[in-house]
Amino acid sequence: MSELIRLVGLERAYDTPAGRTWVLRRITLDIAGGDFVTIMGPSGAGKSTLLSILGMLDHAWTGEYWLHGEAVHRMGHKDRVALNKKHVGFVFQQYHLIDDLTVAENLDVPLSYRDVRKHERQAMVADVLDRFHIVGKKDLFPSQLSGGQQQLVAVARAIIAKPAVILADEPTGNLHSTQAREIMELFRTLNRQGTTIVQVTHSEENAKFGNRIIRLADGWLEGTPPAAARTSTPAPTPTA
Amino acid sequence: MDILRQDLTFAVRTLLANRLATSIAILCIAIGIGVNTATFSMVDSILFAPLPFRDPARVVGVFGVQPRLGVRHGALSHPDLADIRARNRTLDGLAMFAQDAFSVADSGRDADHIVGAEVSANLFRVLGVSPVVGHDFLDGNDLPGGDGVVLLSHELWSDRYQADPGIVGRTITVNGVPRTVLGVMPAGFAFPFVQKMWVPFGVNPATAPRGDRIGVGVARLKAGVSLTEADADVRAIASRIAETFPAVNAGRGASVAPFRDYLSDEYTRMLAALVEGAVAFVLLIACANVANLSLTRALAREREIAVRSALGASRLRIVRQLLTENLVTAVAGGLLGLLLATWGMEAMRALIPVELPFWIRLEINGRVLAFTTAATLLSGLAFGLVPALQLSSASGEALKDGTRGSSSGARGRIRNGFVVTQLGLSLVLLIVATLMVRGFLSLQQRDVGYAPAPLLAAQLVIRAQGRDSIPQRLSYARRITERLAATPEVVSAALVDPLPLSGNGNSVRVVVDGHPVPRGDEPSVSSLSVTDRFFDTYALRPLSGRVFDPRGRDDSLPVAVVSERFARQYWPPSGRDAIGGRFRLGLDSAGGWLTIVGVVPTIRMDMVDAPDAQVYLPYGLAPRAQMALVARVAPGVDPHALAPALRSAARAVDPLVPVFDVYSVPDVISRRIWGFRFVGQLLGAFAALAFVLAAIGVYGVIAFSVAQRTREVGVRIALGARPADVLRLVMRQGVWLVCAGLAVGVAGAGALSRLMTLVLFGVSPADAVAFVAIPLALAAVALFASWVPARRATLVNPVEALRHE
Repeated sequence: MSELIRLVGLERAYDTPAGRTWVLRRITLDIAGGDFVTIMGPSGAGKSTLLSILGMLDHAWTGEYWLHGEAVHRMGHKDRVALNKKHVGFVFQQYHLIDDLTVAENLDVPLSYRDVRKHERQAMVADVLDRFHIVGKKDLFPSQLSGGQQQLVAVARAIIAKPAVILADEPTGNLHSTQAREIMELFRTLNRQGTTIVQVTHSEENAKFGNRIIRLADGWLEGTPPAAARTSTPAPTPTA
Repeated sequence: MDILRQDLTFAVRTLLANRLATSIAILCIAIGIGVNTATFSMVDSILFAPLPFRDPARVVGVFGVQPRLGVRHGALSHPDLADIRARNRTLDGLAMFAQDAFSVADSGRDADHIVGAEVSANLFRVLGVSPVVGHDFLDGNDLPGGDGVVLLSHELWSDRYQADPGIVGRTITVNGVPRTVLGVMPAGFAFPFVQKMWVPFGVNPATAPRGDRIGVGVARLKAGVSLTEADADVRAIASRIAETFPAVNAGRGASVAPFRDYLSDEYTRMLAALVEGAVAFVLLIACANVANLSLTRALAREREIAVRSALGASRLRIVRQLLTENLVTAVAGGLLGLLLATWGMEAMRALIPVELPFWIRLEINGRVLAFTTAATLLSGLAFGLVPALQLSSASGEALKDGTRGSSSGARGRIRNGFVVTQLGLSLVLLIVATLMVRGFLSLQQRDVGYAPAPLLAAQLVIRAQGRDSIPQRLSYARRITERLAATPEVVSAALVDPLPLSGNGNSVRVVVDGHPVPRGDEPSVSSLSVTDRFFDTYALRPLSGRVFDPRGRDDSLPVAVVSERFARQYWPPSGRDAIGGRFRLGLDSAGGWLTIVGVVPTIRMDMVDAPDAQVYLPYGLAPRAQMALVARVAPGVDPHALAPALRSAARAVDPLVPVFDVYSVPDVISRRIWGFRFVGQLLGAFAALAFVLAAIGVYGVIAFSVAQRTREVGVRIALGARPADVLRLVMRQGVWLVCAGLAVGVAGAGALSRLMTLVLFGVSPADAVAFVAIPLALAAVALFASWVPARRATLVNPVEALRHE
């Protein structure tokens, strides 16, 4: 499998009145195309921050980030947005559907930002509605759907623009077990169809759907470096 | 009571916790209440307030009418009034008055010009107002021989006589005649407008000519009699009088109408209503702002209200709690508004260059306070009820994490509706103000037929004390004009009456030799009495023939100079053949024929009225007592600087001739049209306030919308939205609001424009500036107000936005 994502020495810190707080330290990581990676770790370990950086929503980091062979760390904001649009789809724990839009309109949103022509968009939306068996819900608003249905729509929205990678932040965190399993099955299916999945989860159950687990603790990748080095090694100052 | 105290305490605490929002709300209400209170005090006096008489609802006017000419509030003659008084069965004590001006002299002082009135002896008894010093006129005081008395206003008594306690019985000289002071009227009383002195008519109705219509009647309805009944009664009497005296009363009648109709004409009342409407708009716009603010805060409080509901609070209880907060805000705004109103009144006083009629009161009195209280409470309800009802419906959903209130969509629509209404009302106000201001500017720029800039004018009453005769007037006229003309800065000086553009007129019927017209159809012209240098002074060169002889040879000859408009009408097409033509003024033949010796360009006699034709008579032929002295200054001389020289020339010629109203002619014009300027300034100020309030409203709604949609914007950015996409998303709402607001405003102003034609001068009610430029300007400001928060939305950090959910 070809290499899709490569991180080298990636670091992220926040400046707070109490001083600098490190969220991610020296992350070096490769993710191959077609991987189903699970990022796990306790709260505050830096999982969601890593996902935001992978999705190019967070820009205040240092180090190297390669996506599809392109050097994200050398790109300006505009190019990063363009790269995000081309390769990345998001699924959030709180679904984050837009309340005032119907299911079909929510699915249309990512396409509208990719300058897809209207009739093509309509065809793509119809196709995804059909694929996800939610045609009957296309005119409903998010508030009229159950949590599982909302997350189903959110996944559909994430894949509609055919991204190379789906970044899922606790995608089943608000769902009961049956709904959670359905969503995870969906991810597995998508993964088998070639979509790379990177999920953040606390659930060992969900992690079993993936083929690789990355564990984070206090901003460090598990096993690197030795625990003794974590407090003594100086780190470069992050730049925005 | 305990619950009320609880509500109040909580309301105050909540408001204090949101100081910024509370301050904005209080300020908005204060502005709305402030302008309303300040304006209401004036408008109320004009439109609604009881006149300052005893039992004012029963005081009515008795007017002469000429249905064919549309005259409804005309004068009556002494004999007509006496007949109506004797025969009517519906009126108590019919009185009469005529506005006049007096020259008052006392030992050791120059003559003063005092505005006053000639009155029947029973006038003040009819009005129910008594002197505070001395006593009222007695019956018989208004008959010849009994009239050597006078009543003074409190102001005149205080100013001129230093509130002399021994004033009663003192003799003062009024128009050269000694009169005994009977008493002093109450402070502030200046019936009917700004009069300071009242003298009895001294006329015997039995012998006075029936054709001399000199005064207006004022009466009191008998108990149980309606205005309609009194009107029918008086009309019937007048028609019998007309049948009895067809020679002088044909086509004339009399009517009973509210006395207020005489005091303020329909036009003034319309302007007053317009101004009141405009300030009501300002209050509505302010209320819409505050309501929007309340709705905005409602979202933040949805959870609190849901908790209260869950704990057992009824909807009524919650509405009451929220309304209490709004009423506390309104009351605070109302109090601040009262303070603003006092400043507003001072500003208004500064804008008014003339003395206001005594019944117009720019003050905060009981009625004004009642109005302010009502406006405050109503505005509290107006801006509080909708948000309170909305918020009180907050359901248990608000208690769940990650959900929006079910009512937020409806609330958004209400907020948008408020902003559209605000923009619409502001635009109506802006368009109306623009039309008024442009109308005023066009009035100001009207071509008057000559250059007014180098002219200085003053009024003189050439009724020299005790020695008033025609030869004396002629002699005075010659001496004063010659003396003034001898001043180095003066090019030429003349006397004229009426002074063009002063608002005074002397319109008379004219019969032209060889152009017979049916009786009653005779055209009217302005008849001016002028001294020989008038045409030089006004730089009016004859178009044909000549002007009056500068050596006074025309003084007593039956000759006239006419304006081109008059000449063309009867000697078309050029009017040049008018020379030698003859005409007669007035409808009886006693006046004799006047021969036209010259034709001069037509001038404008009034800035407001339609232009008419003029005929000029030599002063010797029409030696009126009150004349305007006009001087043309040399190039480069400021006419105002000549005022002292004019006064001293007048004093030197005759100190007993009062000189007053000394103004440059541009100032005369300005005073004539001050009302239009004043209304334009008021409306302009209100429109500016409305403009700012509406811009704040648009900003508030868009900014709130952005704040509310932060998560959505974050999601959209995560899904690939560029800054331009976000800007477009937010601006779309702003554009929609602005377009809807403009459509409402233009439609509203368009609907009003037909009414506006009644109060506009020299500007089309479909004026392009008002209907195109102003909406575009408002749109630009409103779009900017929505661009500011929209721009902020593009800077949303999606990570932050999604994390805060």
